[in-house]
Amino acid sequence: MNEAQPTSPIHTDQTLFAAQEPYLDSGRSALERAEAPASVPVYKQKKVILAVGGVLALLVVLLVASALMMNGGTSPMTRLEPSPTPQVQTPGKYATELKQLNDDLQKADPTQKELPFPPINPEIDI
Amino acid sequence: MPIKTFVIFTLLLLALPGVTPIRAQDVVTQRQDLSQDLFDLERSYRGQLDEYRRYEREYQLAYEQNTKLQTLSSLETLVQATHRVMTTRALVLHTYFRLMRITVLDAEGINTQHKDRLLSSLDEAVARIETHQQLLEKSQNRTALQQAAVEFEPLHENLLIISNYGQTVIQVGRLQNIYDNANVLLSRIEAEDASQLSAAEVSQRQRAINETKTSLQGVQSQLQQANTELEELVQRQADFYDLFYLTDVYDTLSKSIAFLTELR
Repeated sequence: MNEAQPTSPIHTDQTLFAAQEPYLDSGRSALERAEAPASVPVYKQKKVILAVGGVLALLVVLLVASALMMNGGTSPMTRLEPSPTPQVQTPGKYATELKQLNDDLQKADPTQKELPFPPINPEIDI
Repeated sequence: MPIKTFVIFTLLLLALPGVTPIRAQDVVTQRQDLSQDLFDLERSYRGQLDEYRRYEREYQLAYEQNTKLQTLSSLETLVQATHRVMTTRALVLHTYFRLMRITVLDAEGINTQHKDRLLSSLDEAVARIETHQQLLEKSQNRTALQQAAVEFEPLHENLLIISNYGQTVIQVGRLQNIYDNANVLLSRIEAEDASQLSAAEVSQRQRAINETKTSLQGVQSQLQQANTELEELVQRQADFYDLFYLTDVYDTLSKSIAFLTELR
């Protein structure tokens, strides 16, 4: 009468079934896998490092470029060009005397009074 | 006796070389002192003028308050404010005329006749202001201050005339001084050795010198006219010395100096 019971347990609860079901040969349940933190693969880490490095390099290039732009907007090649030779101005023999004359002339302008009468009120009374 | 003579002689020898440098130094010191006086007076004048403006505002406020309130207290405030502003006004004028006096003494190129007359007028102005200051010292009540205000009117008119005359004389003197210096410079330029120049260059240079000379002669003529007219105004006892043609003198002088600058 007693029929031979199957060796494998009958899984009626589907959630428990999923947890108890062996997965490949790892021996870990799906639930345990779900709870465990995800580990980043090595090839992905390399990509991240490369991307961060690239962004940093780009920033450095941008900084250098902006510094050059602020430095008069001239490239180093332009600055290497020889500047025009300034025209040599020899001071005149009477430069001092002429400067003095021009200074005196400015002071002697009749339209500008040197010592105007003080701005007082002559009608102060009580 | 010979020892005494020797000592005196030696002392004299030691003292004599020091005489000339001391004299020269004195001249320089006097000049410096005048500039220092001018600087100090200008600074005092500006300070006193600021003070006067502040007291004048206070006087105006006190005047308005007394007109509104008509109390003994407001009247007392007004008397004090009036006394203060009138005293400071006299001080400002006193410093102004002293400043003008030193400016005239320091200035070069002023016609001697005008200079002497102006200095005399300035001394007179300072003396009259001092008399007014003495009157103000005694004026401590309303009636006395009213009297001082009445006496100030003719004094103010007289001071205006002297100031106007002084300004004109100083301006003419300044122009005259520039003309004199320009003339000296032209003579020096003309006396320069031009042997290294070509005949064409010498001719061109001479034409430029002649043109500058003509321009400066024009200035001289205008300055003579200015001095003559100024003298006429003084003789007429004019109350205003507006030498409008000084602008013409200035223009011709400017042109002459521009020529000189080209010549160098």
